[in-house]
Amino acid sequence: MKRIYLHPVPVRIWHWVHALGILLLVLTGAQIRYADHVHFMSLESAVHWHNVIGFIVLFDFFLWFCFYVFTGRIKTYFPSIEELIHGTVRQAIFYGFGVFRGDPNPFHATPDNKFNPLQKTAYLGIVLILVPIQILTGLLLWDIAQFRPIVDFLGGVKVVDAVHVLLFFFFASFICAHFYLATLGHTPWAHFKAMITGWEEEPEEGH
Amino acid sequence: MKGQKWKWLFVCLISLSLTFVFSLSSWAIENSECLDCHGDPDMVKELPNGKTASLYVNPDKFAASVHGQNDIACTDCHSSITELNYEEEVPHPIKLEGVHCSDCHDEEAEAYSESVHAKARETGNKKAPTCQMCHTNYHYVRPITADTVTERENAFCVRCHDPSKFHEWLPQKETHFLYAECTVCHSEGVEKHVHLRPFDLIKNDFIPGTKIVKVLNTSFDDFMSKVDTNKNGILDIPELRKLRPIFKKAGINPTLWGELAVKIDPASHNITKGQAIKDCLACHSSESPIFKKVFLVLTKPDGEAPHYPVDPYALRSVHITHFYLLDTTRVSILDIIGLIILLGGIAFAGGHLTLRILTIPVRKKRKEGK
Repeated sequence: MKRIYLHPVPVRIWHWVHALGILLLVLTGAQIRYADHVHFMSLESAVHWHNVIGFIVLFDFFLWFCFYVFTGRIKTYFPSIEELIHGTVRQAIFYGFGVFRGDPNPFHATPDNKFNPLQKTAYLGIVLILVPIQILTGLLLWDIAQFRPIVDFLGGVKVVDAVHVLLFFFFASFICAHFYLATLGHTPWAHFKAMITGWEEEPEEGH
Repeated sequence: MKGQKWKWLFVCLISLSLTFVFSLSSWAIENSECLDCHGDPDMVKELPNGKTASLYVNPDKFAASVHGQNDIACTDCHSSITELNYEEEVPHPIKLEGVHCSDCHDEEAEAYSESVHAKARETGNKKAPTCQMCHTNYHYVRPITADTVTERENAFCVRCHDPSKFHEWLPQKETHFLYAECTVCHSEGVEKHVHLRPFDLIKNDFIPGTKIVKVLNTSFDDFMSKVDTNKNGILDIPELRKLRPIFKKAGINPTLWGELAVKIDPASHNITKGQAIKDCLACHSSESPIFKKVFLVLTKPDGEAPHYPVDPYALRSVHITHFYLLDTTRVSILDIIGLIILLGGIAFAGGHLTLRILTIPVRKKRKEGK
């Protein structure tokens, strides 16, 4: 069994803070949107905690973003043309057929290139576009009176809210898919262990 | 006996006539007579401390006031003036009885008597407001129906209270102050409803009702018959939608500014303490009765503002973009799209997992084959 140190400590901390943060944001978000039907906490508390956690995630994301941009690691999120055209198809075929037949994963993670082409493409959209949009719309909705000129410019509070809500559903859906995809390691818990210990295990016969 | 009857009838007639003539002397005092003197800006009276107090009443401002508009005579309020004697330097008694608003506004007075303001006054708090302290000079009281929530708050509550010093429990308090009138939460038993006011996004200002009716080539009275094309007495979403291109053609980019206001009603004078609404779900619920009453409000220059009923469902439509309340006005279509997105993620994970489980024998066989 080959062991690769894939996730350094700061990355793991960022990941789990984000994971817990997004999960709690989805839960409190559901309470806020459906306060007249869902009653696991009061609307007032849900709004309070949604704001507090929102700012933690904002701060955490900002730190991560700055770190990745200034150290150049951000390039790991940009797929090459070859990866975008062929890599994504190859990886999609693996997930759609090969994984069921027991084919080896065509992608092998290294510390400098730890995302397969599908992951890169998806994360590029999620981390660099959708998360910032969600943070920005959340910030605007956090104090509508203060940000009213911007909110109005963007089409009104209902438009800003609609974007935030659609992304809320997306992230709720993402949590399900992400959690499931994390079970696609060489054992169902391999990727989970890696995100806790930092060490990814890969069967030698894969090479 | 018959002569006696006629005699009584004669006495009654004389008495009635005398009452009529006596009353006529006060009825006969026209506002213009009062304003002959009190319309002079230099009209003052000397106070015992040597200072002077103005006795001037601006005729134009009075005419524009709610009392002026309703043809209230000066002597209706200053009822101790029953006649004018022009042979005297001051043609009426110098010392007049105070004006009692409650003589006419009895329902308002009753609601006020229950309020925290009246109770504070009773305990000797001189800062607690009387009618005039809120409504200012009663000669110039204007109708406030056309005023926005902010204008009403600034004209009344905020003059004494700083709401930002309180309401710590309330998320986004400034947003609440901007869109919900104080009395919505702080007044009991008053009808609350939603105002939708045409708002110009380019000029960042409300569009006067006069401009709206002009663009539509109609009048305030005929507005409904012009716009309510299906004649159900309510402005439906398609009817509101049809207005937009008409305004765009006229160079106006309107949206509807929503706000939570109370009906101008005597009950709104019963401002309570410690009983304000603190339950978020009173408003933030799709079942909230407040949002079942929605009106398009067109303002008139005199401060009046006709209310035209709007289909409450319009608040939940995508056509009203600049007004949104958590839960109450959520757009149903987003929930449907959201459910599809969520089910998509679950179906992907569930479907893939099922296939993985079903294909375990295939992988096992392949491994054994190796």
